[in-house]
Amino acid sequence: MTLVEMLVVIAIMAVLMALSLPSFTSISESNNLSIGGQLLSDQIRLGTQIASAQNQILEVRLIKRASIPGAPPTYCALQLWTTASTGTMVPAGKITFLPQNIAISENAAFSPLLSLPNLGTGTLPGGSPANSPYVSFKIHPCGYFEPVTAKDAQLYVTLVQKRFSAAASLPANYVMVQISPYTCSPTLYRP
Amino acid sequence: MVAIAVFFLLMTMIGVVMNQTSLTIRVASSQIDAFQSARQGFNTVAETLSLATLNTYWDYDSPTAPTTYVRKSDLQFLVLKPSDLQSLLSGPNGSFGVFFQAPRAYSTNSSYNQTSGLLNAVGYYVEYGSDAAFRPTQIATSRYRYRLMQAIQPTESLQVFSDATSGWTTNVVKSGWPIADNVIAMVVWPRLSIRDDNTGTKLTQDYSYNSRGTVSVQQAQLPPVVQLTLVAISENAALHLLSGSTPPSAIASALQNKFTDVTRYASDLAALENALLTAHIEYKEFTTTVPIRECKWSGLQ
Repeated sequence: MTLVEMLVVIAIMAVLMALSLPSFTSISESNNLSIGGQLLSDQIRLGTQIASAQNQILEVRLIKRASIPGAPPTYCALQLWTTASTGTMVPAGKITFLPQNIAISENAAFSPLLSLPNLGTGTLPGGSPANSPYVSFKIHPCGYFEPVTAKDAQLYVTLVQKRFSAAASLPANYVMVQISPYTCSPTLYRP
Repeated sequence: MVAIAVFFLLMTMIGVVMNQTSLTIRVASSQIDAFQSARQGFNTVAETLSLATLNTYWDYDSPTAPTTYVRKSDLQFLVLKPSDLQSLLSGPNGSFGVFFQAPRAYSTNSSYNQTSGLLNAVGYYVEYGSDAAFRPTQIATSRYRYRLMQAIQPTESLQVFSDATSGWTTNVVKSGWPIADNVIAMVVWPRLSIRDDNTGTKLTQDYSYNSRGTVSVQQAQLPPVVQLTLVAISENAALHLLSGSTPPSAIASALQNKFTDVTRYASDLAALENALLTAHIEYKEFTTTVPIRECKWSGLQ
């Protein structure tokens, strides 16, 4: 093999890698979105099971926080809370973080669940960073969603790349997680 | 040149392998998702069905000329055959519907919804149709599927007391909401336990049941057990069968004339499975016997 042949092969390989890099990035982003949708669905399913098993109302808190200090806060984590025997709310598990660079869109058109009237709101005690704000909805032991909205198809949030979390239009790739008002079972929609 | 040819050959081979692998993963995960949803729906139906109640009491047979005490109830347990259910639904179906009251504590009034044990009218049935009324507004494309539906009437809207027949079911189905996609059939068989009735024909011959009806053994009482069967197909099979607003002919023909006589339950189920296998439709069947906790069954009226 001559030096020229080797250089040609290396050049072709470089061109091929440069061409395939964006598609690998896109695959990775798409994979993160899928994992995020699955994480959110699994936590809601877990919440439904805990509510049914313990015969108690369970709260799902969607937490708004910055992934790194200085970055704008986004809805990128969630935590299940249940009622203790004393009547106070206590965490039912650790905070679950969505994959890196994935957040819930804050545009009311894409995540109408976040704009529902009578959602719970507050700030998480402690944690890092402390006092992260959250919005919450409840899962009843019989499985229905609170705040109760009769036959409402708008109980959904959209997971997007963090850079699109406040965007006015829907990006090309997203995952919508819709929650049934009567059973709280999640349904995923992808473009 | 040889090195480049070998390189491209290797790249092509890697591409084909990756493509096949991702296809396999996609197919497997879609099947898991489809059957997971059907399994969850099946559990929901079984759990709610076990809570069915009639709140029976004993009263005179006639308020003006009483001759004896009889068992009575202001509630109703109803299993509708596909032909009877069809008049209630907007979309086609080929399956049974079950309607009853259970303490699901569902209320749209925030003053009531913290109270446990409130009574709701509940219905489960299978319907074929579009998801236009259920999907997020951002999703433009309609998906036509068979769906297991749950309808629940809030406590404050209960109509069963004001309706002497089964007219309340008309309004119950208006709150229908899907709990699982791709469930093509639900068979509800009210019966005595196998020890008491080996053939399962003492309560009903044709699967129908009406606690407000004329069949004396059904009057004002719940069946002791309900044999519940769901048949679900995979999402991939549903995609291959896409037929718009009319149900896929392969499914419709597989369900035709099935489950009309309880004595033919096993052969009907085998025929349905055989028809699905012949049409290369991937399916899963869920069956359980649900004991009704509130049943105080008695052969006496």
